[in-house]
This record gives sequence, C-alpha cells and structure tokens, in this order.
Amino acid sequence: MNMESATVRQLNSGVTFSVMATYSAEEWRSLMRDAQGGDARAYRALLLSLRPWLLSYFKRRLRGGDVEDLVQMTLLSLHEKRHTYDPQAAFMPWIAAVARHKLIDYVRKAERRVHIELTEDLGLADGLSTELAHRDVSVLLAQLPAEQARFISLQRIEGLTTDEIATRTGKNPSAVKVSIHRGLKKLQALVGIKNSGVADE
Amino acid sequence: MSDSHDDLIDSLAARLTPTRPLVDSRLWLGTTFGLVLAILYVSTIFGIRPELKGLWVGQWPDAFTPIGKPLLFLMLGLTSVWTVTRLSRPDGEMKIVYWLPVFAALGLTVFNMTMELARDGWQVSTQQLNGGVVACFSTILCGGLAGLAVLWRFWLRRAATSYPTTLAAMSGLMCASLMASAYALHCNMDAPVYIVLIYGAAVALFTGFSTVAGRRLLSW
Repeated sequence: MNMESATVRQLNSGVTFSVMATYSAEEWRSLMRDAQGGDARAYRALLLSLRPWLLSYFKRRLRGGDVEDLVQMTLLSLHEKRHTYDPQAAFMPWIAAVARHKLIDYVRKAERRVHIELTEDLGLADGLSTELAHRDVSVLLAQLPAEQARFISLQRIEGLTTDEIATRTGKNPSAVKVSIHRGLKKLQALVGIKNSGVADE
Repeated sequence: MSDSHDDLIDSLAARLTPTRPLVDSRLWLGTTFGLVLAILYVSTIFGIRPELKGLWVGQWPDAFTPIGKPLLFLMLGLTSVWTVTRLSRPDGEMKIVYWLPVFAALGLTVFNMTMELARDGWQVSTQQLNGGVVACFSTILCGGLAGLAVLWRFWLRRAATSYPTTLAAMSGLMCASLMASAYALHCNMDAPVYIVLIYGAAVALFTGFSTVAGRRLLSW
C-alpha cells in the first residue's frame, strides 16, 4: 500500500496551526470502486478518511469561511456525483477537482475572502502530484489573457522581479507591474472577492 | 461539528445504492444510433442527393463538395462528442485542442467563401442562397433540439463538469453539427457562401442557444 502523508500548515487569522493528514490514494481508489458497486462499509470508510484531507485542503485556501460547511457540501456532491468517477482512472485528480469546484462555488455564493495561492507548493502540501498542483494554478491562470498569465506565472511561480520579467519579455517594467496588478485583481474577482487589496510584490 | 459530519457520513452510507459510472463508449454508441436515425429521417423525408447515391455503384462525383460538406460537419460533430466526453467529469481538463477542429472548419469555409466572393462578387454569390433555406434551418434546429434533449436525459444531467459553459457549447455544437451532416446528404447547395451563411448560421445559432441554456443547468 502506497501510504502518503501531508503536513499542513496554515496561517489563518494570525494563528498558525498544523494538521497531519495521512492517506493512501490507492486505498481511496479501491474504496471508491467498491462504493460505486454499493458497498456501504467501504463508502463510509472512504468518507471518514476523506474528511481530514478535505478539511486541510479548504483551511489553507479559505480565509474567514465556514470550512466545516464546505466539507459537508463536498461530501454531498461526492455522493450525488459519484458515478462521474472513472474506476479506471486515478482518484486524486477527481476528488481534487470536486473540492476545487465546491470551493469556487462556495466563494462565489458567499462572497467570502479567499486566499488565492499562486504557488504549486500549496497543492503539493495537499499530497497532490506535481502535475495536479500545477493544474490548480493553471486553472486560475487560464482565466487571464496569455501575456498577463505569463507575467503572473513568472513572478509568483518562478519568483522573478518585475524588472527581470520586463527584461525577459522585452516589456516596459511599469506595464508589467500594472498588468500583474490587474491580473491578480481579476483573479480575485473571478472567485467572488470584492474590494480586496492586491499586493504587487 | 464532527458529530454532524459523522451523522452526514452515516446517512450517506445508509442510502448508498450501486451506481453505474459514466462510460464514454455509451455516449459514442448513443451518438451513432442518433446519427443513423437522423440519416434515416433525411433520406426518407428529403431523399439523398444523386451524387452520393452514385457512390453505391462506384461513381465518384465530379466535385468533392458533395462528400466534403457532410464530412466537414461529421468531423465537427465527432470531435465535439470527444470534447463532451472529456469535459463531463470534474477532473476533465480544458485544452485548446478541443477548439482546433472548430477553428479549422471555420477557417476553411470562410476562406472558400471569401475566394468565391472575390471571384464572383456579392450579387452573384448571394443568388446561390436561394433554395432550401427554411428546410435546412428547421432541420438543423429541430433535429439538434431533439438530439440535445436526448443527450441531456441520458448524459448531461449526470455530468459534473468544471467547465459548464464550454460543455454546454460543445453539446450544442455536437447535436447541430451531426444533424447538419445528415441534412447535407440531401442538400445540393454547395456554394461556400451557402455553407457559411446558412449551415454555419444554423449551427452557430443552436450552439449559442445551448450555451445560454446549458451553462446554468450544468451547474452542480
């Protein structure tokens, strides 16, 4: 059994805490397959095992929201849409997509302040593969024009300064800075945030 | 709060029933069946154009358009089916490759229309718009609607997409394109201007309708 663990650290309202979530993607996959076949015991084990992972997933992304509510909504969605899981496919991409979808839906409806982390480390801390963690970021960046997304990616993911980005792309540093600022504001607007400050650097 | 989670989990486990996973092959099978029905309808009501009937006895048409026109919409429809299967699950990824056939079909037909307009002028070209417009429009729209209703009943309402707008658009494009490919087996209006302005408009209109109607219905 391929056991994986994720240590989760979250700064929320000035309080730092950590959660240890231990899970097995292969075990979840097996339980989900059995659940699709009607095995209630496997299903219960799966949901119980998923709960701490979902809690940590949401806690690191949602600032000031009711994470417990979100976990419940995600479990309900998982139940209603469990037939959309392809038994031949990996389980993690599916559950991560369900969680991300419910998070965005929740934030849009509640107009909550959400912590948008444009770093793959966040997904990696959730135990997602590099590819999945990258996808979490690219799903957000795909909402922006290509050039703007590239600027943000260079700054937030590759860690370049505004001047370095300007040099690399041949653009004016001021234009790069404005573009990044507007792009981040647009990303926040896309997930339902209003009048929130955006730090350029 | 953990107690409420436990209650919820117990409740969900207690009402668990076996479920049939979404299987792509079922959509392909249903699509094939629907396309056969559409072809039967068109051949019975309108008849198949002579150039295509000639293919059965080994007579190749002088021009490629009688074959190319249905193939164009068939290709568009089939790639849309593929996109619908890709986007129907939460973990389905949005890729630019899904739109390439749309851009290719649009580019090809618009290019041909532009060449035709440049060669013959607007007056002459638009004379080729007279004929079968109502039948073409109504067949694509009504047939597409019937297909979309069946698609909703057996597939879309069970889907859980992360891209509801795109899935809704692709579903409309799929149904309208496949109906257009069936109707093109009858239609002998081969001018590029006709294909773009009549077929293209009907397919675009239906895709727009599907997008507007479906984006909310596909929310979950």
